[in-house]
Amino acid sequence: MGVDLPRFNPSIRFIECPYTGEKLATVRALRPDVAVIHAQRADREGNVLIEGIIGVQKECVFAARRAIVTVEEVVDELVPRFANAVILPHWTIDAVAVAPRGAYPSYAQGYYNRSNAFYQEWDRISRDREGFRRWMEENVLAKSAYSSLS
Amino acid sequence: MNTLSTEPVCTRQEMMSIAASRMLSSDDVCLVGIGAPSVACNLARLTHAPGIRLIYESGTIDTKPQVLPLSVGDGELCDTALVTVSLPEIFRYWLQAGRVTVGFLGAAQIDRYANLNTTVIGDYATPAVRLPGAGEAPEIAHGCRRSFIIIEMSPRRFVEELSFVTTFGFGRGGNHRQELGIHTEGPVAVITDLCILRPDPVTRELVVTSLHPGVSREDVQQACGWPIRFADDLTQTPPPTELEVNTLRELQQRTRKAHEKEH
Repeated sequence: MGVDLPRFNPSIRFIECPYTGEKLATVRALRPDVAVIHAQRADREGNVLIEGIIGVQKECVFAARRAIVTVEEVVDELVPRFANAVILPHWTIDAVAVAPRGAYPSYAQGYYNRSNAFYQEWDRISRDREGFRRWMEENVLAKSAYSSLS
Repeated sequence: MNTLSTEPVCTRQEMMSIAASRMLSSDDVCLVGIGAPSVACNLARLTHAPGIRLIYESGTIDTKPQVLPLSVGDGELCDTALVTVSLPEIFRYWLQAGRVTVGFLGAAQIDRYANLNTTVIGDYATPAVRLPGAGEAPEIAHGCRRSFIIIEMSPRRFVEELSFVTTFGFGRGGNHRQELGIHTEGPVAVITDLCILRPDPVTRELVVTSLHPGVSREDVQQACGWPIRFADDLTQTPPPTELEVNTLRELQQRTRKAHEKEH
């Protein structure tokens, strides 16, 4: 309200609240083809448990037509289980892939911490396209998955 | 001129964090921006406002980080929080519902009506500098009962006209907030490394109300991109106490140490 973003982003529109008359900003619903999220663990049926700062992980899965979840590990049972834990039933997900340390250089709550040093280094790496491209080649494109992380 | 001879000496940046921390009390529920606001809010919690409830926009409620987070998504915030909720919940049930008394924001640029820019410097399509973006700042400034802004003073930061209004302060001044149907108070103070500014009660233009120790009116004017006004009852910011300086330095040292560690 009163800011410049709506001038540049046509997806932001305004409506009047039908109850109070208040002017409200809206955005079009996002419907991605695929959502990819990372979670702590799945059980053998493919039910997924997410813990920590959950942000909009659950919303991403439900907004998308298909969802892929990478997990730290597959376990026999999702325990300890709290009644209000964030669990995505296996029938809301299309595929589960085991990807230990899959959140690196970020973290997975309860599994490993974030590499803060890497995050700070990223400022330098991402400063220009050449540095970014070199880093991508060395660390992602030229290597098999996770070989640099173990 | 105050010589600070009997007071602990601190840098202007430290004085900014300390002056900002003093704005908060144990009664506040505070939505904390990352960076400078996070320093000030945690300093308040570790000194005079131990009861303050800090919320980061990632959904960590009543969090007590031992080291300053690099981002709102830090695990430290979740580990030390009373509870962590989803983003939609933070927006709707907490911020929009009016449960947050104070928002604490930083910015790259500010104008005389406390509007903020964190989007671009220069033209939107071909900017000279692309800044990190809005984050949750527009919603925080809109939804919190009142807000504080912490920003270092320089002519590049305190500008006559913003390249881009990311976050609404008082718009064109006067009653612009109310005209848009915004019912919260808006920015009640801007805390800088040189002084404290507050909005004029009628025009809403920022006015210098307090100079930090050792800072002159000329220092402030030189660091501001528009002809700045000084309050008739201009005061001096009380010098930092030993507790404030020590607590701040310990917090920043703990943070540096933690961030140097790889895992």
